[in-house]
Amino acid sequence: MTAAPSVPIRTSVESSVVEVSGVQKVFDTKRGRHEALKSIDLQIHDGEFLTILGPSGCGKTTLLRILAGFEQPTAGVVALDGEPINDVPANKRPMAMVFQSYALFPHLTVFENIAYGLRIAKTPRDEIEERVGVVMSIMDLAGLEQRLPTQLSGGQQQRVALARSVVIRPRVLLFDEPLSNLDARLREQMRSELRRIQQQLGITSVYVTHDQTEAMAMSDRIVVMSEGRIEQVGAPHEIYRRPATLFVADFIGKANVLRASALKRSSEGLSVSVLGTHLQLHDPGGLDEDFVLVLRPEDVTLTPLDSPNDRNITAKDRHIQAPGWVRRIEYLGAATQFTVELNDGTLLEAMRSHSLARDSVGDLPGEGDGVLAMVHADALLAVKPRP
Amino acid sequence: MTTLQRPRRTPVAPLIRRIRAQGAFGLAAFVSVMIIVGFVVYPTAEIIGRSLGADGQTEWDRLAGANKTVSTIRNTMILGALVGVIGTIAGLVMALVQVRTDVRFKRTLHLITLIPVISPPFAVAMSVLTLFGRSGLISKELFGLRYDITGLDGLLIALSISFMPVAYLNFVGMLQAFDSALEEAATDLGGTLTYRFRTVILPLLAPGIANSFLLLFVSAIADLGNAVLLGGGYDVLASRIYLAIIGEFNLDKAAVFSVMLLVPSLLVFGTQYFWLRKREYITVTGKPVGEPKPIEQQSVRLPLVGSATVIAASIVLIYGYIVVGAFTKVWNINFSPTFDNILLVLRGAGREALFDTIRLALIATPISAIAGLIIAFVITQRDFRGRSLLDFASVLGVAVPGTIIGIGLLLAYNEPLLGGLIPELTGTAAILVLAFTIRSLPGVVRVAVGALNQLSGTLEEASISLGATQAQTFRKIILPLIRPAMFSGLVWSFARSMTSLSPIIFLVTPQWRIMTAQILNEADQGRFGNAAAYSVVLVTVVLFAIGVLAATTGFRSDANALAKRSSS
Ligand SMILES: Nc1ncnc2c1ncn2[C@@H]1O[C@H](COP(=O)(O)OP(=O)(O)OP(=O)(O)O)[C@@H](O)[C@H]1O
Ligand SMILES: [Mg+2]
Repeated sequence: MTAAPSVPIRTSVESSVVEVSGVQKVFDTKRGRHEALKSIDLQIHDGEFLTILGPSGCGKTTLLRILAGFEQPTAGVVALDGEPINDVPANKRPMAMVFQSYALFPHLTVFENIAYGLRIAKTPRDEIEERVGVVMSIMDLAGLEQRLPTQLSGGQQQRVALARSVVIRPRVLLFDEPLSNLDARLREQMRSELRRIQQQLGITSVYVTHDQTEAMAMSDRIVVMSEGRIEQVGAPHEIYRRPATLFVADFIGKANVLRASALKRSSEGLSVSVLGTHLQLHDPGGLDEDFVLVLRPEDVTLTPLDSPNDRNITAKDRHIQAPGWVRRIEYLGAATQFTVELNDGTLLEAMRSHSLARDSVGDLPGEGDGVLAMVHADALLAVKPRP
Repeated sequence: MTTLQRPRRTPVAPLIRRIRAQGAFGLAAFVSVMIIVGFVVYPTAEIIGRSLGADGQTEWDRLAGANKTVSTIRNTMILGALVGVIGTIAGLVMALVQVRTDVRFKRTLHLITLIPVISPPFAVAMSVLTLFGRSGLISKELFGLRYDITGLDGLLIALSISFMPVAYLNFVGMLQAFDSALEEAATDLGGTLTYRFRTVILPLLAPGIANSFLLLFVSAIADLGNAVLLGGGYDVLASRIYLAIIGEFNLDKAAVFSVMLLVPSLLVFGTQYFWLRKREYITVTGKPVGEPKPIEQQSVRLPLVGSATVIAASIVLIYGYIVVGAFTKVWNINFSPTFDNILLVLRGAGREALFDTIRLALIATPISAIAGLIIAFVITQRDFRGRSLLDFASVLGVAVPGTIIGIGLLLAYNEPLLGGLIPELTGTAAILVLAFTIRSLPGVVRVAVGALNQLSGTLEEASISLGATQAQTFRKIILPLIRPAMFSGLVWSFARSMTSLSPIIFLVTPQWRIMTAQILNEADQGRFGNAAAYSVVLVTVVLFAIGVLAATTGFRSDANALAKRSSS
C-alpha cells in the first residue's frame, strides 16, 4: 500500500494542459436542483496520469463528462492549452473517452472500430492502415482485425476500446472506470498494461475510478473527491501519508481516528493532548481549533505485556506507550490486523506485516493477550474533520 | 449533447440560430414538430373549427338534441366497448395458447391470427354477409334461417376479428416477458393453476388487458368500412359521417359528427397513453428469467386450445371464403370457377386503381420511414421540455380516427397556404400520399423508438468523442444498427397504406383511384365478387412486398442482435 514515492519525471514548472476553474454543475431534476459539482478547480499536467477518486455519486463522471464536452458546466471555465473550450462541442475537442461499457460499435470489425476516428477525420487510406496496425501491435491485438466485437474476450474488448481512442492521438485521454467490468485478475493485469501504454505514448490521461488500489497503483497524481468537492490533490504517497482531511484518510487505506485538542501552537509545532497524555506534533498548518488525529494501523507497534492493567498511558521520547489487550485478530495473509482495546477503552487498529526472514507467526500476540501499543508522534497526523 | 441550459440564458433566440446551435438535433426537432403540426394537428383543428363555424353551429343545434344523434352516440359506445371486450378476450386466448401451451400447430395459429393485419379490415364484412347474411351460405343454405346479420351482431364479428391481432400481439409480448420466476414462486407456495392465474398472472396482465381494451375501443369506433357495409340500421358515428359527406355533401354536418367521434377517441387514447403505457412498462421491462412453462392441467388447456381452434377456424373460413368469392362466377350463388373477377382487377377497370395504390403507397412508405425515424430520434435523443408532448403527438395519427384525418386534410389543404408556398392539395396524389404517411407514421415511430432505446447512449457518445458529428454518428452508427427494425417499420407502413380506407375515402378522385375505396364501392353496389377479387389481389401485393423487402434489406438483421448484446 505504501507506494514508494514516485520520482517526478518533469521538474520545475509543469505546464498544464487542462485547467478547470470554478466549475459548478447543477442538475435540474424533477425532484429539484441537485448540485453535483461545487466549484471545482483543477490543473491537469502535460503527460501525467491523473486519477479522480471518490465514492459513488461524488461527481467523478460528471466532471469527466464536462471535460469531454458531453455536459456543460453550470458555471466556471474549462480551458485546454490556455484556451477556454466551454463552447467547443464534444466532437471538436481533441480528447477521447474510454467507456466503462467499452461502447464498441457492434456492427464494425475490430479494424473498423479502431479506424473509426481516423476515417471521420478523413485520414488517407494508407495512413489509416499504418496507424491502426501500429496501435494494434502495441495493444497485442494483431490478428483480430476482422473479428466483430462480440467475438472478443472482455480484456480484448477493453484493449480495442483503448486502441480506438489512442489511435487518433488525442491531447487528453479520458477514462470512466474502464476496468470495472473485468474480473479481479484481469483487472490487475489490464491495470499495469494500461499504465505501460500510457507511459509509452505519453498521453495525458484522466482516469475515473472508485477503486483506491487502482488509483494508488496507476496514478502520477490523485484527485480525491467527495460530495461534489475536491478534498485533496496529490501524489499517491502524499495522499496516503499526508491526508488533508479526515475523509481522505478514511477513504484511502485504513485509519484510526483519535480525538485530540490543541494546547499550544508554536514554531516547534503543535502541542496536543491525546489519550490523556501530552505530545508535540508536526503542524501541517491550516488547522483551526477543530481537528482530529489520524493514525495508520501499520504505524502502531505491539509488544507483549504481562499485566497491562497496572500501567497508564504515557508519553516518552515522542512516543505514546499505551497498554491494552488484543480483542480481535484477523489474519490477512501478508499481514495480520489486530484490534486492541486500550486501558481507557479506546479501540485501536494495528497492522503487522509478516516476513519469514524476520519473525514467525508464533511471535505474534494472541487474542486476549496483554500488549503495549507504541506510536511515534510523527505517525499522528492532524487533519480537519471537514474540508 | 451540448447546450440545454444555453437557450434559457439568452433571451428567446431566433429559431434559426437556435437550430444552428443545436445542430442536427435542432433541425430534426424542428422537422418533427412541423410534420406533426402540419399534418395531424392542423387538419384536426380545421375540422373542429369548421364544426364551430356559423354553419356548424346550426348543425350542432339541429343534431345535438335529436334522438337519432343520441342513439348514434350510444350505439357507437356500445360497439366500441363490446369489440374491446370480445377482441381482448380472443386475443388473450390466442396469446395464451401461443405462449403457454405446446400444441403442435402453434406456428400455423400464429400466422392465421395475423391475417387480418395485412388485409383491408372490411374484407371481413363482405364475407360475413355472404356467409351469415339473409341469404348466407351457412345461415340460409345450411340451417335454413333467414337471419339478418347486419347490425350490431355482424359488426361485432367483423370488428373483433379485424382488430384482435392488436390485442394478440400485445399479450404475446407481455406473456413472453413474464418473469416466470414469480409464477414459479407461487407454484412453490402450493398454488393451483387457477389460483396462480388469479393471483399472479391476472394482476400482472391487468394493465395489458386495459390497454388492449382501450386500443380496440378506439379502433372499433373509428372503423368506417364495416360500419357502412354491415351496419344496416345500426347507425354509428363513422357511418353517419360517411353518409353526411357521400350522400348529402354536407361538410358541416360531417364536421359536427367528427368532433363527436374525436372527443371519445382522444379521451380513451389519452387514458391509454398517459396512464397505462407507463404501468405496462413496469411489469414488462427486464429480461425474462426463464422460459414460460407450458400449461399441463387439461381442464385449462383443452378449453383454451379448443377456443383458439374455433377462432382460428373462423378466420380461415371468413378469409377463405373471400378467396372463393374472388374465383367464382357469382359469389354464393354460382360456384363455377372463373378468373373473370381477378382479370377485371388486373387488366380491366381495376388495373388503374391497383397501380395507383401501389405507386402512392410506395411513395408514402419511405417518407413515413424517414419522418418516423427523425421523430423517434428526437424523442429518444435527450430529455427536453415538451418531449412527452411530442411523443404523444407522434401517435396522434392513429388516435385520431382515419375519417377525421381524411376530412381534415380535405378542409386544410383545399386552398393554397402560406401565400402559395403549399399549393392546393385537394384532388392531387400528394394529399393521398399525405394520408398514407400520417396513418403509418405512428407505427414507424414506435418501432424506431423501440430500436433506438435498445442502443446504449454510450455508443453515440463514443462516436462523438472520436470526432464524429451528430449527423455522422447517426449515419454510421445508429442507422446500421436499427436497420432491421426499420425494415419491419417499412413493411408495416406499406401494408398499412395499402389496406387503409377511412383516411382516403373522401380524398380519392377519378384521377387517383385507391383499391380499398374501390372495394367499398363495388361491395356497396352489391358486386361482391369483384370486391373479393380486389381484396385477394391487395393481400397478394402486400405479401409480395413483404417478401421483396425481406429479401433485399432483411439479411442484415444480425446487427440488431449484436447491438442488443453489446449494450446490455
Ligand atoms: N443527468 C443527470 N441528471 C440529474 N442528476 C444527475 C445526472 N447525472 C448525474 N447526476 C447526479 O449527480 C451526482 C454525481 O453523479 P456522477 O455520475 O458524477 O457520480 P460518480 O462519482 O461518477 O458515481 P459512480 O461512482 O457511481 O459512477 C449523483 O448524485 C447523480 O445522481
Ligand atoms: Mg461514474
